[in-house]
Amino acid sequence: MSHQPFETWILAEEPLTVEQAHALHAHLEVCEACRRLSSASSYVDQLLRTIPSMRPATGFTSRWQARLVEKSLQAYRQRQRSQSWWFFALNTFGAVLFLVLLATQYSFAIDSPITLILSSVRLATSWLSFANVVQEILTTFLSVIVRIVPPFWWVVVATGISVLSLIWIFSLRQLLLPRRTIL
Amino acid sequence: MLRNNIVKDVETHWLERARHGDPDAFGQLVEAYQVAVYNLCYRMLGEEYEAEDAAQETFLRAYDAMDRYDIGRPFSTWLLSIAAHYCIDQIRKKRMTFVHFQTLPDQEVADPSPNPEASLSASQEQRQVRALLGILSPADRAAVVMYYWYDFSYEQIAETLNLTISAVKSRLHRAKGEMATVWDEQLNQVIVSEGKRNESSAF
Repeated sequence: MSHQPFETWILAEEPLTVEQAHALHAHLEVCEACRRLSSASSYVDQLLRTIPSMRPATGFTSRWQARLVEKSLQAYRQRQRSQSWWFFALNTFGAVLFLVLLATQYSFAIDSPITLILSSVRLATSWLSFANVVQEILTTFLSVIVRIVPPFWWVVVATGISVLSLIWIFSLRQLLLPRRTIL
Repeated sequence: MLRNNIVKDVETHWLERARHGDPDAFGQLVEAYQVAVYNLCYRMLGEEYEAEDAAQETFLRAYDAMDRYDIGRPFSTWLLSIAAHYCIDQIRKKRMTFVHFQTLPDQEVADPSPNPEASLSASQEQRQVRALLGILSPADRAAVVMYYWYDFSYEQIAETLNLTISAVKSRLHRAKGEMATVWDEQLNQVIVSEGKRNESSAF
């Protein structure tokens, strides 16, 4: 026996027309399978419509707030770990680069240590003469400046430099201190 | 009517504040929607501890996504959409096994009712519902829960689950048929086993 369209009508949410209702009623009288489906469907429908909602245990919001704090802390720690790794990676990269440059510059030292010693002495001498020249320039500059600038402006400049140093230290402190998390 | 308007205004106020990252305002929304979200998660997952975890996770995800929430859309629909998708993912991850009526544990659902008989009956009904929902696919289950517990229209279910309206209708129809068939089979089995027991006791 065909159960269509009766099965569809039994499970339909929309109301049936009068003709459909009559046809379904007549079919249910002769078809046990559809009668059982109709009965089961009505029971399930009724059960689902009347069953109350489940409620969480008391203190759900407090537990959520605690979890939010924990999640924020985890995210903060994760961020810090990531920053540390970046810092370490950049430093390592810099160090490796420096070593590579050094190795290419002084590769000849492997062949001849005397050449290395001589070049080091030459380099040190050139640095010292450079420092000497810089010192002479600075001394001349300062002696000229002291004669030109009046003492009042020295005080102003010194105060300005102090204030800028303080701002710099305060900004560094603000940037380096850990930020407060939410809540 | 006036009360509804006041409640709506208060909720809009909380939503606005929560969108600007105020955790206390969002806490008020958690308080208001905890039962709706928890019930959906429980009906989807079938275990209290899993439902609690899923409901908490839903609110955390919603809190993180508040800047993407469209204020013109009902908050409940948006929130339940997050919960439903999270639960569907969880079910798919663990490939939830179907629960048979007879194999369900008896510990179940605490009922505050002082009447033990009423409590037992309520507990049995909760077990029946859990078993019936357990036979459905995750998306069908979500559609059934939204239809029966939240009185969502076909349009709302479609919007929440990212389906077409005809797909929602077809899923609900199929789910009803599956649940009715399983219920009928179980009832039939109970009748047959009762009959056999009566026959053996008569001899």
